[in-house]
This record gives sequence, C-alpha cells and structure tokens, in this order.
Amino acid sequence: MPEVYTGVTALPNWTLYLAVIVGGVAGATYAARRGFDVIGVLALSVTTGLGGLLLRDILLGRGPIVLRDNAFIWSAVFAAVVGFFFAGYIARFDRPLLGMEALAMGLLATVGADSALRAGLGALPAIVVGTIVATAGPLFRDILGGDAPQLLRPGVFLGVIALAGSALFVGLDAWTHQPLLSQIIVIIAVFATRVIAVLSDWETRPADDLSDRMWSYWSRKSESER
Amino acid sequence: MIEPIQTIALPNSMDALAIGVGAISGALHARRRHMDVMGILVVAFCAALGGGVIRDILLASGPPVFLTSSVFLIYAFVGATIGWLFSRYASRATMLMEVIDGLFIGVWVLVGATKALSNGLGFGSAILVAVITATGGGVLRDLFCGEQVSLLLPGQWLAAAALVGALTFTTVFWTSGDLFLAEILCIVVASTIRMVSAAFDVRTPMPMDLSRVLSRSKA
Repeated sequence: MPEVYTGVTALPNWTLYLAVIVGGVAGATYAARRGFDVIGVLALSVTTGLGGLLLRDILLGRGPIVLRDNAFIWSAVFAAVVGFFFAGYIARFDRPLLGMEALAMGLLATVGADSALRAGLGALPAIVVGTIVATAGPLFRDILGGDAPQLLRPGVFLGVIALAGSALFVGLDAWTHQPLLSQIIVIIAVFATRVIAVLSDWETRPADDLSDRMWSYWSRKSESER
Repeated sequence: MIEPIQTIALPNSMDALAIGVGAISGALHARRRHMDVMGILVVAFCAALGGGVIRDILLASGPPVFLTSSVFLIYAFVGATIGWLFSRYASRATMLMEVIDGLFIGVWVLVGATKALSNGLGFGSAILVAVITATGGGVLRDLFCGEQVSLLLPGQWLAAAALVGALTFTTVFWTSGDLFLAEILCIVVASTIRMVSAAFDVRTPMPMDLSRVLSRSKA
C-alpha cells in the first residue's frame, strides 16, 4: 500500500481544510436555496467540498485522503452546519465568499496538478487533473441539484481560469523547480483574474463557428480569381 | 478459472479515429446546448474518454489510461477543437460519424471485457464492465449537460447492442476458449445490431405489463 500523499507541497494542511470549508459552505447554501432538507444540505456540502480531492485520488488510483484524514470530513460537516443555519447571512456576504472561492480554486488546481506530477504523470495529464480537482465540486453540486452545470454554460468565467491556472503551475514548476513559489504565484494569479473578471463583468460567449467565415473567405477568393 | 488473458492493444490509428469521432460528436452535442468553450471541451472529453475512465476506476488498476498516455488526451483535444471551430462542416458528416461509432461499439465492448478478465474478474462482472466501457461516455455527457440520460430512454439499440455483444463474447470464449473467434464475433454482432437498428429504426423493447394480461385471461 503506497503511503497517502496529501498533495500539499509546503503550504500547511489547514489551507486545504479551509478550501473544503469554503466549497462546502457554497454547496450548503445552494442546497438551502433550492429548498433541500437536512440530508440534502449535508450531501451537497460534502460533495461540493470534498468532490475534487476525492476524484483526484480515484483518478490517481489510490485510497482517498479525504477518507483517511478525518479533518476533511469534519470540515465539510462544519460547512454544512453553517450553511444549514446561516444561509441568509451567507447570501448577504456573497462578495467575500466569492473571493474565498477564488482562493480555494487556485489552491485546489495547484494541489491537483502537483500531486499528478508527483505520481509520475506527464505535463498534459497534470493540467487536466488540476482542472478537474478545481472544478469538480461545483460540477457535482449542479448535477445533484438537477441543474445544467454553471461551469459549462456561457457566462461565468470559471473553468477557463482553472485550466489556465493549472497550466501556469505546471509551466512554472518545470521552469523554476520551486513548487511552493509557483503554487503561491498561481494562487495569487487565479485570485486576481477571478476578481477582475467579476468586477469588470467579463463573460464567456457561446463558441464561435469558423466554418462560415472560412467558406466566405474561400468563395470571395475564388470569385476574385475569376 | 481460465488463465489470465492478454489485454488487446488497438493500433494507434484506430484509437485516434474512435476517440476523435467520440470527441467531435460530444462537442457537437455541447454546441447544440449553446455552451461556452470550456463546456465544449469538458463534454467532448467526457464523451470520448468517459467510458474508459469509469472502467479503469472500477478495475482499480492505477491511473486511467488517458492520464498515463497523453496521446489519448491529444486525440480528444483535436476532436473537440474540430467540433468547436468547424461545427457546420462536422455536423454534415453526422452519418459518417454514426457509422464509425457503430463500428467501434463492439471494439469498446471487447476492450472492456478483456481488460476485466485479465484483471481476474468473472464472466458476469466482465459483461457489466464491458457495457459500462462502451456506454459510460454517453451517460457522462448527458449528466454534464443536465439532461435525462438518453441511454435509459426508449430508442434505438445502443446499450442493448453492447450488452448482446458482451454476452456473445463471453459465451463464445467460455464455450470454445478461442479468444480470437470471440473477439471477431463480438465486434460483428454488436456492430451489426447497432447498424441495423440505426438503418431501419428498430426500437428497444418496452416493459410489458403481464399482470393486466393475466388478470384479463382469468376473468
């Protein structure tokens, strides 16, 4: 049995617990808003908070750390209690919560990419794992809540930032060989991008289709040749 | 118990074709739901690689194939990009993609079944793993689009074709012990059922309520 690797390079473990709490609170308030009961709040808090880390360990083929270290479960349960009793307050403080979520996303992306690299995977798979770890929680939340996932719909700038953050971490790590430094840089970069995106109302658009543009380009070209 | 059998490895070009086509159809599906770029990427990756990921997780044999060999990721990425940027052209080739898809359903069943057997699972579990390998991608795609899973709705033979293919494979392999024969028959049976169902719009059987028939015959 390989030893359990938490994926934290040098940042203390409580940063991960905090990320779980932030994700869990977001999941719990979502459940409270949708009118779910106690079990619904608990389930959504646990899946949203722990989903990414759980999926990481499943993908890397080892025993999930969130089941080995009880503090993870308790963090998610704490988040559920907070969300169950104080959903109204939390909804009023949505801006600070958004900032916390941005920090958590950067942390999770770097932790995911880093643990994939240490499991001996290549750069491209590490980027994918980082993106999955950072975004799986909200994705599970929306699927369980019966919504089309917010991550995939045009509008909120989320998945692209997670993807770019993971790629940036893998690049910086290969360049500087200093995981902690690259991790901190990426967390700050992700946080800054997310906050700027929210403040200046950047939105993703539905995807473009280049076929028409290429078609008109070709037809114009052939006409001018004629 | 039979001796452990070799997992078959497909030639690279076939892998590329199957995964690329899966990714293109996933990307087109996401486009029809007006998703953004990230949505198209995620749905395309799920449709192309999802079945294999679920299989590898179930077999608990280390990281899934798509993480250990990056070429799969590149194939899926190329397919997703084609479906994203050139959807108008790609959707004209729907017919061609369905044919390729139909040809490969037997291959996925086969890969799943042999991998399960070589991991020491029994025949029953091998059938389950094989069907999941062949159909898991579509289930993940529907879940991520927030829709009803089309696998469970009445329609053409898709999962049913995979199931029959898996049954054929295990039965032939069990009775004759000839791996090659079982592989060929599995691909032929599954693909034929899928194609015939698509061409003539053959529907899967619906549940029949026998209790009504029985009570009427008694009266």
